[in-house]
Amino acid sequence: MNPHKLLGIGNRGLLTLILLGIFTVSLFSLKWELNIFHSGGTKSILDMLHGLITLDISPSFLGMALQSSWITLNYAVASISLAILIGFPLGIIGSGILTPSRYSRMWTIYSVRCILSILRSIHELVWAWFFVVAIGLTPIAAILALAIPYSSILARIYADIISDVPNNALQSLRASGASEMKVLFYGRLPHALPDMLSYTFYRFECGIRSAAILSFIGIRGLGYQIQISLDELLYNQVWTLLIFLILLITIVDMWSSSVRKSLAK
Amino acid sequence: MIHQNLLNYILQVKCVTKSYGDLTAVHVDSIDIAYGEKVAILGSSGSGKTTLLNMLGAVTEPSEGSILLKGTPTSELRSGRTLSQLVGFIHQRFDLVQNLNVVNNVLAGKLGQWNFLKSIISLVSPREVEIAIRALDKVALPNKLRIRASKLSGGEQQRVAIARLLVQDPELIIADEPVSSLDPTRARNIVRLLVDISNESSKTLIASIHSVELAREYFNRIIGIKKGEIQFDVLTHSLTDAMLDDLYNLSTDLLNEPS
Repeated sequence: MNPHKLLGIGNRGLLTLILLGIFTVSLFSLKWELNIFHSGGTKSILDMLHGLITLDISPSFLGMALQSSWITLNYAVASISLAILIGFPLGIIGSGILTPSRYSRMWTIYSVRCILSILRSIHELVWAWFFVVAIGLTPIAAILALAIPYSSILARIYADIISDVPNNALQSLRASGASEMKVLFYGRLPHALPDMLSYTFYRFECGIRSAAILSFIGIRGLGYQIQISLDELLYNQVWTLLIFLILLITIVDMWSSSVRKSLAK
Repeated sequence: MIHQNLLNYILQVKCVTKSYGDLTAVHVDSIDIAYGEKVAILGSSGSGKTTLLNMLGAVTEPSEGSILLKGTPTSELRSGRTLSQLVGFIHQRFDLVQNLNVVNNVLAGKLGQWNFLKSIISLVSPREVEIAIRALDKVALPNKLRIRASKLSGGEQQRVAIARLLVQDPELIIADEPVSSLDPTRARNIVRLLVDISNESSKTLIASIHSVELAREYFNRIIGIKKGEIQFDVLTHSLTDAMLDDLYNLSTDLLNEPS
């Protein structure tokens, strides 16, 4: 007799208790320092907030912020485009829909997923360091550093979406004599494209953020400028640049909403 | 041994059983269907109609016995292309690609014949549109070419599915409860459409329907199936009410079932 059944809670209740327990234990395993604020901390926070009120909006700085945003956007677009180019066929292969037998399908899915997980678990910053060391501080290094992990993220999601299409329409196509490749284009992709597009836009936004951070390694862009301004404690400039970053992502978000709305019509 | 008669029948079922593990879903001794016949399959839900129709259409293979489609056993009809020329299916749930427009759904009937490149190009710029227009005229949906399938009503989607069937142009049409989700007027229209197509193009039609009235009115042969066994297989004028009562009546069976 299970003890939790004696207590009157079911399997779901037991799971909840276990999760709460893990959460509580993890809280206690952390080393909580009572003095998390160092002595100069309060002043720094006040300085940062002061910077928000006294934004640097001089024309020359705004012009430079705009240019940095443009560079960051370029990197993001180039990287995501490459990621889609690699991720789309990888996703189709990784979904296993083109393999003939059940055995080869399991094998394909498993091996592709393994490769994708490995590529994905290396953060783009680590990829960036690797490429900078290997091929130098060039734009290609940054683009590859973003494109590789992002393509595996996209591929994984694409594979899931493509294989998750309701079967009855596909059966119908097969009954009309369509091969699996034709079923892919006539049956799966029309159903999968809206979700794939939506997720790709989301990843594009993430890509902008990543591209901004990547510019810390020395290529120009918003992150590079933020780092310069941070080093000189010019918080008002940092806030300006952050606002540009937020605006950039907001504009992309609005664009993606309007594209998805027009698709749904 | 090949009999002369073989060539007169489009379908021949010989001692066929379909089992799933220990459960025998369907068992049929013999059915012979001639070219151009219009056969209605009657039976309550779960009686094995869909399993039977799937075997007749070579979607599934019988566990025992064989089904000859134009003289060839269905187990040998693997190729999508040859099979699509022989059999076309209509289902209860229309099975159109919802996100594609009507013309692409209808032209999907040609996918068995077109090569890959032509099929893909057609998605963007439809090929052989006249064929689709003619088929849509036949099913009385002339101006719906560019409309997305998901925007059509149930009856309209079923007619698009039939238009696709016309484009595919198979010799045998198998309809698995094609009108079960339609109101009586539209159901009658769809059945009449299928029968008209069968008459005009000499196609054989096998349909499972719930309406005895429609079966009697439009089909020349009626087969009753109950718990996987054929109860009767008669020409329409020989169908009696007693046969129907026995087919659909569950209460007497419940009383007789061992507890």
